[in-house]
Amino acid sequence: MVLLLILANKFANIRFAEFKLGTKSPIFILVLFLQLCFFSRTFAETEPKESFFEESEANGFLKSSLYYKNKNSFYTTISNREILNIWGKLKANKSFQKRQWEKLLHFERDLILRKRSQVTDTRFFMSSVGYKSPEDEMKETLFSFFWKTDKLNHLYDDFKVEKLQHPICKFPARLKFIKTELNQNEIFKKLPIPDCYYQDLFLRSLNPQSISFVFSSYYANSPGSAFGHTFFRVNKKEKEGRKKQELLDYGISFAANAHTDNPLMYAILGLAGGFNGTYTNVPYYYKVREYNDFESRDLWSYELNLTEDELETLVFHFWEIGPHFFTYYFFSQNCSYQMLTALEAAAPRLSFSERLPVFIIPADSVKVLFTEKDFVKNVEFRPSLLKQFDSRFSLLDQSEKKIFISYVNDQKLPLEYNHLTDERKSMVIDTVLNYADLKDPFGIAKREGPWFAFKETNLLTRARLDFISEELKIPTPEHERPDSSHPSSRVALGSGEEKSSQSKKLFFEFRFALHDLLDSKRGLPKFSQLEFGNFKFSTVGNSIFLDHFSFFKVLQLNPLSELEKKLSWSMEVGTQRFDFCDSRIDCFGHGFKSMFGYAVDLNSFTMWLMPTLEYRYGEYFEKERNHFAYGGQGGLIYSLSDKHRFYLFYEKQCFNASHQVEGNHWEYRFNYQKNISISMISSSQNYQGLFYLYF
Amino acid sequence: MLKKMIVFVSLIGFHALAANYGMAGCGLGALVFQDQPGKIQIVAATLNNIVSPQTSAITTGTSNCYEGSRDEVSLRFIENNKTALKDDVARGQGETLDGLMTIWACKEKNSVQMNLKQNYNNIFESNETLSILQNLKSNSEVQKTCQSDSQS
Repeated sequence: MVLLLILANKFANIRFAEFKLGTKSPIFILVLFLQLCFFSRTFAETEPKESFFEESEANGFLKSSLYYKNKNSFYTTISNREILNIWGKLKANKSFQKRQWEKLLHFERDLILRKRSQVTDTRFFMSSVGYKSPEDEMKETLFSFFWKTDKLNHLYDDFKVEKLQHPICKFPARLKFIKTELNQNEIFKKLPIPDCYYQDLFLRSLNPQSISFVFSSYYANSPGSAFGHTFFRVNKKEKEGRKKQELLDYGISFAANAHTDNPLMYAILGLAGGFNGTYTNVPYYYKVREYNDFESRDLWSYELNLTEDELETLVFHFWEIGPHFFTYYFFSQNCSYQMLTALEAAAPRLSFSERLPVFIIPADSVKVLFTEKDFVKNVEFRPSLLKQFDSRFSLLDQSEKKIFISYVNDQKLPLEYNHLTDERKSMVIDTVLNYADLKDPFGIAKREGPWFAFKETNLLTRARLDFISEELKIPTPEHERPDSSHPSSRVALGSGEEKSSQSKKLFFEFRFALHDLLDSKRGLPKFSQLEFGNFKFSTVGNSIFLDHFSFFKVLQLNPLSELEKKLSWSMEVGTQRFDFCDSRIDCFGHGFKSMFGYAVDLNSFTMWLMPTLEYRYGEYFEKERNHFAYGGQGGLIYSLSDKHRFYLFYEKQCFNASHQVEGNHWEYRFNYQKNISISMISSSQNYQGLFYLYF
Repeated sequence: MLKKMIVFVSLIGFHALAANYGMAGCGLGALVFQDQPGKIQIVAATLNNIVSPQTSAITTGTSNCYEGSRDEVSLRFIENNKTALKDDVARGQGETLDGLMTIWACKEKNSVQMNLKQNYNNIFESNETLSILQNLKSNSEVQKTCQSDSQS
C-alpha cells in the first residue's frame, strides 16, 4: 500500500507539474488527500486478515469437495449424488452471479474492477477463496448446510477453533436465498435441524415490525461526529393495547473499532482503512441516552418501506454479518455506506450504493433514500435534551423565567417561588432538572459535582410537589429535516480582478463537505460552518494555481443568551498564499488559524468579535520561515431570508510583530435553489468584483 | 510538510476525533460506551458486577445483546436509564418510566406512577441499581398490577 501511495504520488506530481505549480508541499497534501479518498476502495479488497483454518488438512477439507466424495456419508445428511445434483441446478441457473448473492457476501467492484468481498474475516466464508469467488462460496455453503449436527462438535474440534454454530444457524439469509433459487426443492426436507439457540434469541429479541433509518444530527462542538451518524432502529412488533415504545426497540449500527486513543492516529487510520468495522446491536435506549441526552443531538428516523420478505432477509442478514469484520474508511466505506449495502443485500431491487459518490457522509445517505419512490414511509423526530429544555423554558412566563434564572445562578430558591401554585412550581423545577443535565451530563452520570447535588435536591423537591407533569410535546422542526439540506459537496466557478496586477482571473473551487455560514440553513445547524477538503484554484494565462487549501475549517458561533455565556470558536487547518515572499508564486504558508470569542444574535443579525491566532510555515517566506500572528476579527451576517444573506468581516493581524495585515471582506449570497447559488465578493486584499457561481 | 501538518493537527487535540461510534456492545465487560470515554462506561461498568454470569454465555461469539430473563432486562434497563428514570418518577410521568412498566406489563400505569412518585425518596435512597430494582419491585402498587418477577 505504501508503495502504491508513493507511485501514485509520483504520478500525481508529474501531472500537476504541467500546471506550473510552484511548490511541492501543498500539492503533496492535496495528492495525499485525494489518494486517501479515491484509492480507499482499491485497498479495501485486502485479503482476509486472519487465517481461520490454519491446519493444512482443514484447508484441504474446505477447499475441495473431494472430501465430501469420500466422507459424505459420515459428514452430511444427503448423498454425494444428491448434493452434486442440486449444485448442478444452481450452477445452471448461474445463481451465484445474482446481485443478491453478491450483496449477501458484500462483493463490490474495486478501482481495478475486480469483485471482492469487503468482509475481511475468514469466518464469514465457508470456502477459503470465498472472498473472491461467489461461485466457490455458494458451493461450499450449500454443502455445509447438510453437515450432520451431531458431528459438528467433532468437526470443529478437528479445526482446533472455537465451537461455532451450524451453518444453518450462522447463515439464515444465504439459506433463504438458495432455497428460493431452487424453488424450495424437495431436498431441503433433508436439512438437518440444528439447535440455533443464539439465532432464535436474536430474532425473538428483535421481533421486528419495521426498520427505521436513523440520523443523529450534527454535533459541531466535536469534529469527530460533526457530520452526524446513521444507524438502524428495529421497530418491535406492537403488542395489543401497548403503544409504541422506542426505548424498548433495538439499534443496529456500523462503526469502526478504534484501537487507538490518539486523535491523530485515529484520523489517519480512519482515512486509510486502518480500522475494522463491525455491526453492533444494542437496545435503542443506549442510542437515546448517548445522542439525545449526553450529546444533546436530535434523532431523525425514517421508517422504510420494506416488504415482509425483505424485512425478514434484512434481519437474517444482520445476524450473518453481526460478528464479522469489514474494513472501515472514514469517507467511503463508513457507517452510512454499510447501512445502504445491508439494505441492498435484503432488497436487491434497491440500488443506492450505485447512486452514491465515492465519498459519502451521513446526510447524503439519508437523501439517497428518497431517490427510491415511496421508500420512506414516515419521518419521526426525537428532540435532544437541549430542545426539551428550550421547550420547557418557553412554557414559563416572564416572572417564572426570572425565578428560574435566579435559582440556577444562586442555587437558592427566591421568595417569589413560594407564591406559585404547585403546578407552576412543578414547571419551574422540571425546567431546572433538564438544565442540570445540560450543564453537567458527565458529573451527573458519575454522580458527583455540584450540579449532581443540585439535581438530587430538586428531584426530591419535585417528587414532593403534588402535580403530575404533562407529556412534553415538541413539534417536528420541519426546516431542520436533514434530508432537506443542500448537497454537501460543491463546485464553484468565479471570475474577478486581481488588485495588484489588475489582471482578470478565473477561479475554480471544490469543496468535499459540508456547508458554510452563507449556505441555505435548511436541515443544517444554524450557527456553524463546517468545511472539509476545500480547494481554491485560480488561473493566470494558461496556468492553474492552487491558492488555498483548507483541510478543514470549523466555525461554531454560540450566541450569548441570558442563560448561556459560551465561547464561540473557529479553527482552520490548511495552506494558502501570502505576499511575504520575493517569489510570489511559491509563497505558501502552511498552518492553522484559530479564533475564540463571543457572538450575539439579534433576530436576523449575527455578530461576533474574536481574537485570532495564526501560525504559518513558509519555505520561501522572507527572513523567517515561521510566522506567528495575532489580531482580531469582527464579523456580521445579515440574513434577509434563507435565500439572501449578507456577510461582512474586518480583520487586523500582526505577523511576527513586524508587519500588520489588515483586511475586509464582504459577500452577498443568493441561494437560488438547493444546489445553485450566486455570490458577489469583494475582498480588500486581493481581489475585487469577484463573482461566483456555486453548484 | 506532512510532518508539520501532523503536528498541527495533534496540537489542536480534537479528542472527539477519537470518538468511536456505536461501539456500545452489550453484555459482560463489553457493556461500555467506548465512544463516550469517561461518560457512560461509568454508568455501565458497574453493571458487570451485578448481572448474572449467564449473560456472558448469551453474548459469546457476538457483540450483540439479547433479552434474557425479565430481571436481567429490568436491571439493564434501570442501570442505563437511571438518570431519566429518576426524573420520570419525580415528575410522575415519562417515557422511561413507561418503558419499565411495559417490561413489567403493568395494567394500572396511572396508579403505579402516582405511588412511585410519592415514594420517590425511599426508592432512590441508594443509587445502587439492585437496591432500586428491589425497592421498585416491593412497591405495593407494582406488586398489585405488574408482573415484575416472572420470566419474560
